[in-house]
Amino acid sequence: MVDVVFLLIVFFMTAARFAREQRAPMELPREAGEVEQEEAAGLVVNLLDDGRIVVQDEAVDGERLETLVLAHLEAGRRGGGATVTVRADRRGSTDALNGLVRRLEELGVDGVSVGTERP
Amino acid sequence: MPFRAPRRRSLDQVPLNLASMIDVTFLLLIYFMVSTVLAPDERTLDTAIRQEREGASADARDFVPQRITVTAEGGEPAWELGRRRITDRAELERLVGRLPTEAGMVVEVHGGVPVEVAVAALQVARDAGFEEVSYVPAE
Repeated sequence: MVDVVFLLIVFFMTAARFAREQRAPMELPREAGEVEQEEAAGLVVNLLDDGRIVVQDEAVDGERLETLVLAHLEAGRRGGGATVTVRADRRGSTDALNGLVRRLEELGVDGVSVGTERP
Repeated sequence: MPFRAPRRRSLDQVPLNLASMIDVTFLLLIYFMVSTVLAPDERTLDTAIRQEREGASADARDFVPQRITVTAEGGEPAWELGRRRITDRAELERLVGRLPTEAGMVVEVHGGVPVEVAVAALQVARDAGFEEVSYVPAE
């Protein structure tokens, strides 16, 4: 009985940790966005307010971003499409966002979605 | 000759310890949770505004798209529609709402502007009914 109780505690602790770590802590622009979302967000690129880029909980530099985006595009060509969503912190500057958008275009990304949070 | 059916009673009474079974089940569950790479929840986020390359739409080639310029010249972030400089969002919504939407909207964004101001322009264009809204970094 005690064994099972401890296992339950460990289980919920682990689950809570995963839930916390899935998203980078940031504040998105408070906009309504689109009402309908027809397709998955694809590769999510987080742009923090200090200009750092985080993909899948990993801070990436330009080279690593290129690798991830190209792999995503390659997977998209095999089927399913390759959309990219940029979650930019609303307190950040457009200098970093412009640089990121230009870089994604250079890499061959056709369309970029901008993530928002509903007010 | 008396025959007796084999006793099944002893089989029916095999004790089954459920506690250890639950124990193992939870251990397996935790093992797979820890070892599996979870698909990030971000992938199911709402996408807000699709940015496409300028001129991507084949239907609107004959028209010049509308343009909002987002700039921070003068120290204060503002939207420019034509020659008009707008700092009030309600005013921007009112003016953009009057524009024809067929040719799409280009939001040209200069550096040094808070991201939320640029995204607000995208949102205003979307809300006004523009199907094609493009985010264009200013040179």
